[in-house]
Amino acid sequence: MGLLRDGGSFRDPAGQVFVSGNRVFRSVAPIGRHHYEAVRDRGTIDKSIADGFLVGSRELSRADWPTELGSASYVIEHDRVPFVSHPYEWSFGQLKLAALHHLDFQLMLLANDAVLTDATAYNIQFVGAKPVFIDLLSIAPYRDGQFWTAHRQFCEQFLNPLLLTAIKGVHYNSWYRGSLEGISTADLNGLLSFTDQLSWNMLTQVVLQARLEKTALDNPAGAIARVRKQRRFSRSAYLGFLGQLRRWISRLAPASDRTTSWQDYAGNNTYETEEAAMKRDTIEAFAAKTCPGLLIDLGCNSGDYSAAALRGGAGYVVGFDFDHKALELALQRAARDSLPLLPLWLDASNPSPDQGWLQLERAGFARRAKADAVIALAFEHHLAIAKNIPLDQAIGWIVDIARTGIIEFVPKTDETIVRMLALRDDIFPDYTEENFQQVLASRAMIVDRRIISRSGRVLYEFESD
Amino acid sequence: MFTRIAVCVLASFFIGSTSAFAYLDPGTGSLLLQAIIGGVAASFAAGAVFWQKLKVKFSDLVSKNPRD
Repeated sequence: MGLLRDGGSFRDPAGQVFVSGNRVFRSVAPIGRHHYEAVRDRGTIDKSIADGFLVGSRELSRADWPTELGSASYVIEHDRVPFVSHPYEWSFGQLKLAALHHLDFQLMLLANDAVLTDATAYNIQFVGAKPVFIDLLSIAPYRDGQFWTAHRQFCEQFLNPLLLTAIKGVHYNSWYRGSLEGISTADLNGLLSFTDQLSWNMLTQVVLQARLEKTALDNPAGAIARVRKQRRFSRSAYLGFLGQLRRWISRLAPASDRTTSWQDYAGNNTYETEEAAMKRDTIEAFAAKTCPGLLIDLGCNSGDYSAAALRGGAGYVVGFDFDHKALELALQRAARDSLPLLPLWLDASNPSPDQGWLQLERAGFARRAKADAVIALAFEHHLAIAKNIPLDQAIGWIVDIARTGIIEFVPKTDETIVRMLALRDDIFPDYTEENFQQVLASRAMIVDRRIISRSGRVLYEFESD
Repeated sequence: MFTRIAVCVLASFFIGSTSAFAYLDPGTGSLLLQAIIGGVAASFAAGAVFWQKLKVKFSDLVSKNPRD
């Protein structure tokens, strides 16, 4: 299996990440070896892994190195994260967990005379509901009096997006996706009302910081002289910054924590309980039969059917939904029941693109969403009817995700579609079960058809070569 | 109330902006912030440690207190 450099691994000269099949390697370049050796020899890396902060990592003996990495000083192999996600695909709860994980990791490191040299949110990944830090070369020895050089990055990639949602009730995902380095402090400051600013944390971390950025831009030489004059940032000040941010972030919650259209869907939908139970049983039996290592659940809502797939024997489920409150509920379910379930935000009509440097830095949905099985329950009509996407394209997009899966067809007589079309013309003459079946059959083999509601909803199981 | 007024006065001091040359690493703003409020952050950290110690001492005192 060939060795491929990860498209997002190019900024740090200390090392690079490579992927070969299911294996993930990190080379340590000669320029990065001293920092690596220092923290390794003090046992900091082992402790970070044992405490659950850092992804499982092993230094390989030279005989086990991929031959292409012969010029490296060291080669480390990492445990593979089941599904790579980006911060703009996370719910508020996930970004908050990631921010607290970063700060807790920093606090632990500082107690062991080490620091993190950056604060990029992309260095955190989720395994189920648990965040894990993936970039071992971000750990460096602490130098007495050093500033927290990644503070600005922490604010832009963690704090400011969280504040946008907590203070203004605006979800950060679209903004973050368009601005991969996060939300600048100046931009956030420009949105704050006078009353928004009335707290010590907001006044210092946002208002004052934005003001100082402006001062530095207006008078660069003066700003540099002022920083140099200070020289030292005491360890207790460093701890104070981390602790203060931790306390603040742990109290943040979305301002618009209202009931959204989907959050009660699992318990308050047009199905009857018996029909929902039949659907769960079907998914569980499907997972038991196909044993998918990775299953993608499109329109996962609160994760009810993801959980059914896991009960049936799916190894790991990545659930996607557009609704933020539903994702929070799915995250709570995954955390509460320790499920290997990762809920992520997705606008299926405009999925995450390949983007960043060379458009390879952050892989889009299409490059990552290759699974062993897919389920799309009460989903296709949101593309075909609500978004006017031709039925054959909607089905083709779902079928391309996995070799096998279950798609639910929702007929026009169903209450949800009746509501969708209540105030608009029905311009969908081709949206019929007959046409659905024909399109699906042209792309895959239909192995089962099961009616699961009185309104005529049907589960189609498919399999392709 | 006093804190609220003090925060208002501080806020009004920070409001307002001027044009800028966008060629300096904006991280300088973060470093300036650390230089300015590092001392306050340190005292918060010290206060938190003191508060923890006080709580431990107090709970020790309560638990050592014989009930009968």
